[in-house]
Amino acid sequence: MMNKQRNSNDILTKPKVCYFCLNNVQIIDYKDTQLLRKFLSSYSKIVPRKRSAVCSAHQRELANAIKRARVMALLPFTTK
Amino acid sequence: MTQHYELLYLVAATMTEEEVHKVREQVKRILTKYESKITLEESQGKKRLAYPVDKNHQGYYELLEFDLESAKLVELERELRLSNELLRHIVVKKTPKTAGKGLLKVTRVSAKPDLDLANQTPMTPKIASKPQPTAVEKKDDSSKPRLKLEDLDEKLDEILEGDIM
Ligand SMILES: [Zn+2]
Repeated sequence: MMNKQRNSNDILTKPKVCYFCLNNVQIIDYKDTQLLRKFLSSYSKIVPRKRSAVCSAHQRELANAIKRARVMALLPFTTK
Repeated sequence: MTQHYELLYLVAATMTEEEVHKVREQVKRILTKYESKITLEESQGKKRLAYPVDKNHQGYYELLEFDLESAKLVELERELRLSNELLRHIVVKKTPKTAGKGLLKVTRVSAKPDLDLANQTPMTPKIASKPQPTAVEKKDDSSKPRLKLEDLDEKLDEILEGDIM
């Protein structure tokens, strides 16, 4: 109970760091759908930076990778 | 100028293994026709497609890496586009050549402890004024950021779903 509250509070206030900077990823592979899916919303839209805390440089690369994956039918353009 | 490229193409899963093999040979023939040197060949296997392509719900993904004179790329792409067996294809520049696997994924750990510290501070301001939490605390958190990202996504999806509908 306490733990859960702590978590949600965490999410709202915590200054987060770009996932790709954190993991030292230079090139985002469009074939890595498992990873890319984490940055899609439940409607398969690209999650905005505001929400995922990805830095702008990586967000650009990420968006390109997702779009490539979509063309290849590796990822959906939309769901529902 | 010679460039290193990567080609991924999609073949309908309605084809038999044999037919797919034929397509594979055919694509390679096209590549060699434009004097490209194939450095890597990999079948990624049958996969479920994210959306139906020409009424196919599954397909074989085939990956190739090759060196090619960049001026010849346009012609090569044109030829690939014209071959009916390929449902989809994409050619991209590949900067570090894939020699073996897992070359890129080495440096990971170093940045983490500090960032975990940053993660912990907001909800407990008192600790924030202290220079460092205990070492044990840090170690417990080492697997956290990744999980949190997923949690976060889920929670935000929940929240936003309400807004959108
Ligand atoms: Zn970044």
